[in-house]
Amino acid sequence: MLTADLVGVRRHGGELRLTAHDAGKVEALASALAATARAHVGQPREALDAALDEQAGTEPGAADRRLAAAVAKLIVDGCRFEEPEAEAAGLLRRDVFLRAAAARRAATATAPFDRAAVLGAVAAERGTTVASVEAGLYADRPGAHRLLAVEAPPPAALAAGFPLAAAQAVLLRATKVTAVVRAKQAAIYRHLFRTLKFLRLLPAITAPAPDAVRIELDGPFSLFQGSTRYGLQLGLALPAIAACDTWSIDADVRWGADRRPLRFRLAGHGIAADASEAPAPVPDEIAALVEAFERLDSGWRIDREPAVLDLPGAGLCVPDLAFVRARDGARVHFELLGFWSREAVWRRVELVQAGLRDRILFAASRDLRVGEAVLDGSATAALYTFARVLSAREILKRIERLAAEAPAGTPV
Amino acid sequence: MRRTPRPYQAEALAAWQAAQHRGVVVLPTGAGKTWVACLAIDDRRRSTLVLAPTLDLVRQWYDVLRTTFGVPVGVVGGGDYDIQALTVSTYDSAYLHMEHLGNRFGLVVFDECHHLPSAAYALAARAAVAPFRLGLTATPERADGRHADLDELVGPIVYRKDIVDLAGDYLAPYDTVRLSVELGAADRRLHDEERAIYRDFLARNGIRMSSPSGWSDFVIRSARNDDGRRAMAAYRRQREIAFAAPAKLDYVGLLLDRHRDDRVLLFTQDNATAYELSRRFLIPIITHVTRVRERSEILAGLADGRYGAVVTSKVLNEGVDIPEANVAIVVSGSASVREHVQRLGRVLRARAGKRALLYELVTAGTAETFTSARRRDHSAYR
Repeated sequence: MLTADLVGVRRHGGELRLTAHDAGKVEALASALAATARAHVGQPREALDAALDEQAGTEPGAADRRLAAAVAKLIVDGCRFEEPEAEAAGLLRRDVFLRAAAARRAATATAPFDRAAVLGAVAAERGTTVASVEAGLYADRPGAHRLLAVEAPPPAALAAGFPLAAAQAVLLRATKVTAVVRAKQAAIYRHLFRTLKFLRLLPAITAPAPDAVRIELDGPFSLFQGSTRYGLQLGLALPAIAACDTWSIDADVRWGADRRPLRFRLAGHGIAADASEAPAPVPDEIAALVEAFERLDSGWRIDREPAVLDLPGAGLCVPDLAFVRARDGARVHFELLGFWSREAVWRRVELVQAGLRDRILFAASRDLRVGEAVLDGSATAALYTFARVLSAREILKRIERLAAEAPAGTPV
Repeated sequence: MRRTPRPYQAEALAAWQAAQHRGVVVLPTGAGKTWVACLAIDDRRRSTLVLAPTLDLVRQWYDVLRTTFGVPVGVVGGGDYDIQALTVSTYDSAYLHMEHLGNRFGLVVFDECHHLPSAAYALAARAAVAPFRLGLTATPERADGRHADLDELVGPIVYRKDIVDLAGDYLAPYDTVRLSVELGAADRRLHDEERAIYRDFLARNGIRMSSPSGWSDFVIRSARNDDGRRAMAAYRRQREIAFAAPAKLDYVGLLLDRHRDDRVLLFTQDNATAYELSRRFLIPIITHVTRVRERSEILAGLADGRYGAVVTSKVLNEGVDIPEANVAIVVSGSASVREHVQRLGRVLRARAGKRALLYELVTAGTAETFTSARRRDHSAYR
């Protein structure tokens, strides 16, 4: 991922705009820098970094050098490095340094500390050479990691994705993003919503038109003060937004040393369409719940691709999964609200109060201090509060209750 | 809470109480700031969050609070998320979790609170509703002047004692030795050539490094053309020559021999020099990438005498408690008074019969002489 200092931008009134780059130039740079990287396969990372720095530094102007440095960063992001076992290097250092400390304590004016003797003794003890001991001493240092393979995208693909990479870097400085997206396939929406949840952003989702979804993204701290602390998540969300058939974003950013508030807008047409084909990330808590639930002999199965629940005029709800009872097809949606936002819980309560008819169980951490009683008046929705870990058995009890209480014969 | 506070610790608590339980206590390293915080926690008897900059310090606080109060102590950070009435966290984790931590504590203790005025950490402090706040530091002053923000975030400085006030009574007596080393002829020539390139660029561009914006002006202008890039490279090269002069490294060898029966901490300005010293003298190194287990093993080894010396760049400047360490060798460093005082503080914890010694190696005829003069501008070095 690019960092903000690698992005060419200009200010236009209260707006921040990306500097346009010739895709041909980006492709040529990617080609040349990838060739340099490939020439360093087998060499330490610090040698690769130095070579790429030097190569980027030969560009004629400051803007070109920044562009080259940005492309170099994307190439390095696509490199695979050896990660030697830190344990082995650590044990070698321990051996060498303990022996050296003892030798130094025993040294005298006539028999001074002898570095070569220490290394020789360790090498002999390990049945290896002094050169090998010296080479292995700091082999786990990141700069010493050997480059194994260059797996960056082909130059043309890297050039095509460069504007999105630059926009991601701008969003690192965003305090809030509003996106309007359109997609014909439900799978693309599902992928987007799951990504947003995985990133623990708090999407406020509405449908301004039958074929469009509007998503307001920020984090709980934004209620307190404009903060760029969710910038990384907002940047990481962009590829999933850009996977929609058409999309636009309107972001509040704080840019430059003075953190000046500026507006950043961008729109596109499915420029990262392949993102929707990647498996949607699943939060660890959900993965653990699925595993635990499937071990129960419950008579329920789990549907990992539940529908998006739309309550026109009130908003949308995107469950993480649905429980489906085998004998009658009764379906109870499940959404994990986690432990990071009380606000998210109240939004769901409001949605239920506004008339959400689907059977749904929400789960929230007890740390949020919202009682399960807030949804006691609802026949179709319930809140399950948990201490540390989601309990599959507690969830089973609650979905059985919801399936019994909710109007019969209404699998959603 | 059975230990009797030292007189200055009791004075610090009284000053904090008099300031409506908000404010900063400035005490040198090794003077027992932690105990002042324990007194404050006992005084208020409210749920308390202790914030510290490193996991090492979080561990130390955890041990002290458990031992002192005999209650479960929560930890947030380093993979833990356990909130108790007494909880310790890193500043980073508190920043990440302040939505859930901010309204839970009546007292917040900010250890090494000079870190607090940075943008992110300040946000965490502002999000906390705690009416009672105690800041602890040996060196509140920041080069960027933002120590003034501590007034708003924690409260005013309510009590202050410096090293010279406590040395000999509550801190180990100490000596400081400044050693000047010469560059060899070839290094001298190279150093002077590179420095001339750098100085010439400054002069041609009207950049005054002594002005507050001098460094950022240099960075911005040096990025604009080849001349500037050459000047930046020259600046770095002449510094490298001064920081890691061969004569300096030779001198380190002599000092390690001389202090073979002592516990020595070596400090450098950069990791490259630290690795060079570690490789050359076969002494353990601690940097920001050193894993926790290895770091703990090295520090325990220095404490129990298995290791006689440890080299580091900046990561041990604060937050490490090794009472056995009695010799510090500053091979290179920045102009920061705080950093230099913190490095001295690492060897000042009192022990029976201990006399601490701080060596500072400076390469003569280089900018390092000015750097050294600036960082010694503190009562501890007069």
